Amino acid sequence: MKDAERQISRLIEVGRHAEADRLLASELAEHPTDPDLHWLAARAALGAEDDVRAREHLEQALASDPHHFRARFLAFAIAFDAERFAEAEEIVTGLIREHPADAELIAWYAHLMLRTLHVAKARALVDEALARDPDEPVARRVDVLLLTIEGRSEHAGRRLEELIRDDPEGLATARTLFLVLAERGRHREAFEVGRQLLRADPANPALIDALVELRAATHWSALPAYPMRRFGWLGVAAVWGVGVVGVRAAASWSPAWSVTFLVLYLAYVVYAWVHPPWLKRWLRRRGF
Amino acid sequence: MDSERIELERRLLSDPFDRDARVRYAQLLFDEAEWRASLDQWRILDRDRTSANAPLVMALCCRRLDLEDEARIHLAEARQRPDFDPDDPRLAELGAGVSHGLKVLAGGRLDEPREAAIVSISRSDRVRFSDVVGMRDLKKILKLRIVEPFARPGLFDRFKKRSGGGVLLYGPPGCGKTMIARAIATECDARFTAVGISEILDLWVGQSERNLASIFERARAEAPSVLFFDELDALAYSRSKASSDHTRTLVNEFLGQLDGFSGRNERVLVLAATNMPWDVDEAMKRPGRFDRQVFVPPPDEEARAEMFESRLRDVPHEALDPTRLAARCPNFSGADIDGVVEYAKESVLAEILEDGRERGVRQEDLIAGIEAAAPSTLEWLRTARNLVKYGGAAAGYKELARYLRAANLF
Repeated sequence: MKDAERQISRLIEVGRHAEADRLLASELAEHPTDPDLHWLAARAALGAEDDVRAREHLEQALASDPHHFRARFLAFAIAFDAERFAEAEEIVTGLIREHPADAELIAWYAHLMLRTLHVAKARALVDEALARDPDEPVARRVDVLLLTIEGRSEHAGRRLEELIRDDPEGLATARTLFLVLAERGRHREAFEVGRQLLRADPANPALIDALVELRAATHWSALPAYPMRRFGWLGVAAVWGVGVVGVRAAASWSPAWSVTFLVLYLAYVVYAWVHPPWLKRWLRRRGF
Repeated sequence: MDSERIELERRLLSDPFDRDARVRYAQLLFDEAEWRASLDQWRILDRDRTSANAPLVMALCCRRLDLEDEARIHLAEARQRPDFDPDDPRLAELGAGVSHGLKVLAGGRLDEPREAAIVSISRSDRVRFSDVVGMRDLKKILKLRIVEPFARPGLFDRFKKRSGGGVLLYGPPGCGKTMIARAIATECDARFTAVGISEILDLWVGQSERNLASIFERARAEAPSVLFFDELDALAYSRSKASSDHTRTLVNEFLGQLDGFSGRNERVLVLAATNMPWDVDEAMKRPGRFDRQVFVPPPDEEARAEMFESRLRDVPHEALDPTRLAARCPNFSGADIDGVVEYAKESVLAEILEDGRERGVRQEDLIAGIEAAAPSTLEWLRTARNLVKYGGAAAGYKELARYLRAANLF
C-alpha cells in the first residue's frame, strides 16, 4: 500500500471520513482512475453511510480494473450486509474461482451459506477453509457457530475457548460468544456479553432488540412462561394438554374445582399471551 | 533542459537506484514547477532518512500544492535531521506568507518539536473559566477535581490527592470541550499544548509513535504543563475494533507515555476530548490514565441566553428576551444557536428586500428559527442514552446519566 493510501486507510478505520475524503480528493485529482483510491473512497463513503457514493466509487474502481480484488471483496461485503445474498454469492464464487487457495474467501462463503441456512454446505466449506488455514479467524468463528447449531456443544465449547484465548478482546470473538450463548439458551451470560458489545457500539439498534429479548427471557416475571419459552411449540402443546387433562380431572373431582382450575388456566393463557410484549415494551422504556 | 530531462529519465529507467540521477531529476522537476512529480521523487530519495534536504524540498513542494499539513510534517522532519541548517535560506521562504505554524517552525530550535504540532496558548488566546458562559456546576467540578490539585499540590498532597494525570472530557460535538480545556490550562497557570490527529497520524510507519513520544517529552520538560489531545478516539481507537497493527501500536505507545515509561509525568496534566468515548480504548480509562471522565453537556439555559445576546450584539434588533429564547431551545449547541440567528437574519433581510421597510431582528424571527431547527446534539445524546440505559455503563457515565434524566431523554 502506498503511503497516502495507508494514511487514508487509517483515517477511515478511526472513523475520520471527512479527513479521509479530503486526502482522497487531492489524490484522486492526481490519479483519477486509480482503482485503489476508488476502493478507499468507497470505504470512506460506506463509513459515512453514503451507499450511493460508495457504489459509484466501487463501479469506477472495477471499471479501471475489473479484477481488483479488494473492490470486489468490498462489493461482496456490501451485498452480504444488505442481505442481497444471491449477489453476494455470485461475487464470492467468482473470487474463489480466481483464488481457490484463499481460506478467508472460502470462510466467507461458508458464512454466507450459514446466513442462508444451508448448514451442510456451510460445514463442508468451513472444513475446507480450516484445512487450508487452521488459524483463519472467520473460518474459526463460523465453525463455532456451526458446531453449536449442529448440537455438538462440547466441540463448540472447546473451539470457543481457543478463540477467546487467541483474541480475548476481539469484538468478532465477543459476537460469536454472544450468538453461541444465546443459541444454547444461556440467556443470562449472553445478556452480559451483549451489554459489553453494546458499550462498544451503542448505536446498534439490532443489538438493543436482542438485549431486550434476552432480558425479557430472564426476567423474574417471565418465569411462569418458562416451559413455552424453553420448549417452544412443544411447551405450548404440553400446557394445552395439562389444561385439558386438568379440567377433566377437576370436573370429575368437583364442579367448583373445575371452575377454579379453568379460571386459573385462562388467566395463565392470557398472561402467556399478553405478558411478553408488555414486558419488552416496559424494559425498552425503563432500560436495564 | 528537455534533453537533460530525457537523459535523466533514461538513466533512471536503466538504473532506478542511481541516486545522483534521481536527485538531479527531482531538482529539475522542482525547477520546472512540477511540484507533485518532484514530491514523489523526493519521497523516494528520502527513504533512507539521512539528509535534511529532501524533507525541506518536500515541504516546499507541499506548500506550493497547498498541502499545509504535509508541509509542516516535512519541515518538522527536516529539523530532526543532523545536517539541518537553521540558517538555510529556504526556511525563510517557507516561513514567509505561510500558515502560522510554518512561521514559528522556521525560527525554532533544533530540539524543539514542531510548533505546528504543539500549539502553545499565547497570552492573547487565554481563556478563563469566567469566559465560559453558564455551566456553573461543571466549572465547579473541574476546579475542585482538576485545577486546585494542580495549582496547590502541597495542600492536596497532605490529603493524599495527586495532581496531574489524565482527564477525559466527553460530550456532544460543538459544546465547548476545547474551550474548557483551554480554560483549565489558563486556570492551572500551565503551558498549554493542543494536539490534533493530523499532528500525530503520519504517513510513515512508526512516525506517529515518535510524534507522540516527542510531544510527551516536551510536556515533561516544560512542566507544569497541560497537554490537550483533541479527538482522542482517533488517536486511541479501541484496539478490539481496530483491524490494522498501526492503530494498535499507536495505542500501546500512548499507554506507555501515560504510564510514564519513558519519564515521569509529574505536574503534567493530560487532557483529552472526544465525542465518542465508546470508541476510546478501554485501557485508556483505567486508573493512572484517563481515569477522570467529565461530561461536557450542551450549553445550559444561562449559556444559551448569553449566546443569543452575544450573537446579536452588533446586529440591528428590537426588544428581545434571551432568557425566553434560551428556554425554548433545550439541548441546542453553540453551532445550533448560530444557525438560529442566521435563519432569523436571513428572514428579516428577505422581508426588507421584499417590502423595502427596514427593521431589526425580532423575538418572533428567532422563535421561527428555533422551530425550524432541531438540536444537533440529540443524535449523540440518544446514542449515549443507549450506553447508560441498556449497556449497563451508568457507573462510568454518572454525569451523563444524570443529565439525560434531567433532560427527560432517558
